Amino acid sequence: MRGIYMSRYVLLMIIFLLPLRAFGAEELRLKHERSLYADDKGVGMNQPEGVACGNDRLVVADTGNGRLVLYTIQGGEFQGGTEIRVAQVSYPTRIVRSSKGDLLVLDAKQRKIARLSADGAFKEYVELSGLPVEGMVIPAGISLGGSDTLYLLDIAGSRVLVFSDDGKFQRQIVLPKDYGFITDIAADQKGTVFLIDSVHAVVYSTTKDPAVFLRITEKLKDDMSFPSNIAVDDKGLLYISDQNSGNIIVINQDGTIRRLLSMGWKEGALRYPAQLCVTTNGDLFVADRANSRIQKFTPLK
Amino acid sequence: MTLRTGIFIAALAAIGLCFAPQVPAAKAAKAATAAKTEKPAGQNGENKFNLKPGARQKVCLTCHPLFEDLMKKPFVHTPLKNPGCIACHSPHASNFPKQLSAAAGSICLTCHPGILPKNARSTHKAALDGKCVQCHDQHASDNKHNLRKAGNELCYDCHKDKAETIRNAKFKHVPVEKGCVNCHSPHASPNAAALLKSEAPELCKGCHDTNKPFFIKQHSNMPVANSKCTQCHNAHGSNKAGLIYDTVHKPFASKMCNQCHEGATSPKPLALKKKGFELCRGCHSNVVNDMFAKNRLHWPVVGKDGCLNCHNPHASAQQGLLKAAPVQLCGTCHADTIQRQEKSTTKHPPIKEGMCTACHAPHASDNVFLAVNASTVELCGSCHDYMKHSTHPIGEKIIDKRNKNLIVQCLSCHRSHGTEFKKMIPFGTVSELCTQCHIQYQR
Repeated sequence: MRGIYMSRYVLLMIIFLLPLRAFGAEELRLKHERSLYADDKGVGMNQPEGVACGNDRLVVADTGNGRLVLYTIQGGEFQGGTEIRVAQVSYPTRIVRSSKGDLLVLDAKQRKIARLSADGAFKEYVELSGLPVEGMVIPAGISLGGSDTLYLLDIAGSRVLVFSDDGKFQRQIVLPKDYGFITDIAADQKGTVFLIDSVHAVVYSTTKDPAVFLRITEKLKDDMSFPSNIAVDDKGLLYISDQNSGNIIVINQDGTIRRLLSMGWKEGALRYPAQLCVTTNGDLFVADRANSRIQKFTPLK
Repeated sequence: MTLRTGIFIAALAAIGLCFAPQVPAAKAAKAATAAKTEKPAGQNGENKFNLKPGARQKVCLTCHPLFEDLMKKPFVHTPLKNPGCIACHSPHASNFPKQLSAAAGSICLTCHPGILPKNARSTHKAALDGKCVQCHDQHASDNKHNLRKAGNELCYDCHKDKAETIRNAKFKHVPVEKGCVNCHSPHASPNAAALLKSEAPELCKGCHDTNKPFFIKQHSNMPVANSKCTQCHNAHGSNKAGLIYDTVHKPFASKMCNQCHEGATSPKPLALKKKGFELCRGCHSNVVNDMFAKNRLHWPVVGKDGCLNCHNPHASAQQGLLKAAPVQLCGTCHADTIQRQEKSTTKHPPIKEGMCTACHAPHASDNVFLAVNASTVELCGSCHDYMKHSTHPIGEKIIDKRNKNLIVQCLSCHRSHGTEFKKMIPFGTVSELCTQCHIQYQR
């Protein structure tokens, strides 16, 4: 009889503990905190595609208006919303911020990367010279890793170009052979590079070998429709904007995949999201392109 | 696990096995075997069911007389001759339509188990779906293999577009005329896609000797013996001599291979002179310059193989030397969008008809989604003329109540590639849609 009671106990334990295993402590949820619609003069954003963030500043690539908008963050509150118009940048689509505060802006029309000061003054175009194979470079994405190393996704050359913070070419990493189409790049502080393949919905990384891209996910077509942008936080969590579904996909280091948010017009919902940015506090900013706004989400654990 | 638990689990498994339903196909095989071994009533006294003479077939014909004529046809399905109808039909009752002994999709495999090899590279959908009777008459036919129609006419019933190409082609391919099965395996192919008996060029080399001087001369001395013939030739027939696809790239038509390739006298004759779009820029500089003047490039134009991602450089059955029909071609990358349209309750004609370029610029555009017009209202209005005179207020001056940065336009209420709801709206009901903005009417 005692044996039978024990078996029942074990069975009940298994039944009740299974859900806890499936939805572990690492479960991430996002809470919508704020949406930004306009600059300090009330001029609305127009299909912004880029966003760069920090705990003190937020810069938006307001693509449709051909400008940047700079906000300062104090005590969690957004201030300013200063328009930055630079003649050298006409169609900003991606933006990243260096540790010194400089802004690197990808101009999709000119297919150049402009370096701007923290206040938005134009400094120079990043010079793409000293490359092992010459030819036209067409940047589709940029990311900054540790020591402000610049990683540039060159779709014309099917490679990632790596430049030191002073602009010197360091090395190149050839794109994986079996890719469908790579649309964005993210690098972490250790120099691991991640790529998102929109066509196959696959994430590649240099985790195992810094010189080679290997798949770190299977084809995630059931989870993503047409992923377009990728970001990585300082804990190694990957954030992917799934353009056609309006979802944000979060991939944990152990490979756990979570689909967050949904398509829609209401605040907290997204339509054709583009660049993502995560602060060291874990706040997520999304360029909500078709809704012409930037949305801020905070993590709930 | 204790001994007692083990015995209990084993007992459960044994009971389960006893009550497990028999596989229908196995049942059918059993019936057929039994029927073969059983002798008619009265013969040697071995008929344990005491069946009437002809119970397996002739008795059936008393109620099903039409089959009597059918069985006079030259090709009668072997099991129908012997043992008779009961080879496939259960005489008393069945769980399957037409009193079949097993499901229609699996009953044929009882006797024809090797029709679909396990590692087939391509399979005929009809065979895969178990729709054998789509091509074969299960009882009798005038044609060999019990085929419903003779020769290519059978295939043309479904493959209408191919039939049209073959019938209308000015230059015919003789093996096709003689029969599709000269190149295609009807059920499955372990070797190649599209049910081909083997891949090109091996299949083609079965008839065409690539070492013949005529062959070499026709190919401008270029070493094409191992190239895929179907990149340039339409195996089903063409209006161009040499079965070249109907749309031909000018340098190819004039045999000026070295405009793009290193040339026949080079150590690498097939090598391209430049990579990607840079090669095409030589002649199509206007197209490339226009592209680079736009805000947004379609990435395939500059990535991987450049123009060749979408265009065939030699010849094509499609206009603009496209590699495939637009829906198929665009769908190779934008599969989710094409699928959305396929699942959509309301079909948007331009997508259904493969006119992706009616709304999207394939190379570059100043607008998001590579739209051909910055204004969605104008773009949709090019087909939906009524919008300009009677519609919900739309346009630059009408602000979307949900978001002050948005104007009310067609995509405020519709998704152009479709939704699961009627009229391509993103909500289940019209009232749900309207009350997104007109919140005072929300219930």
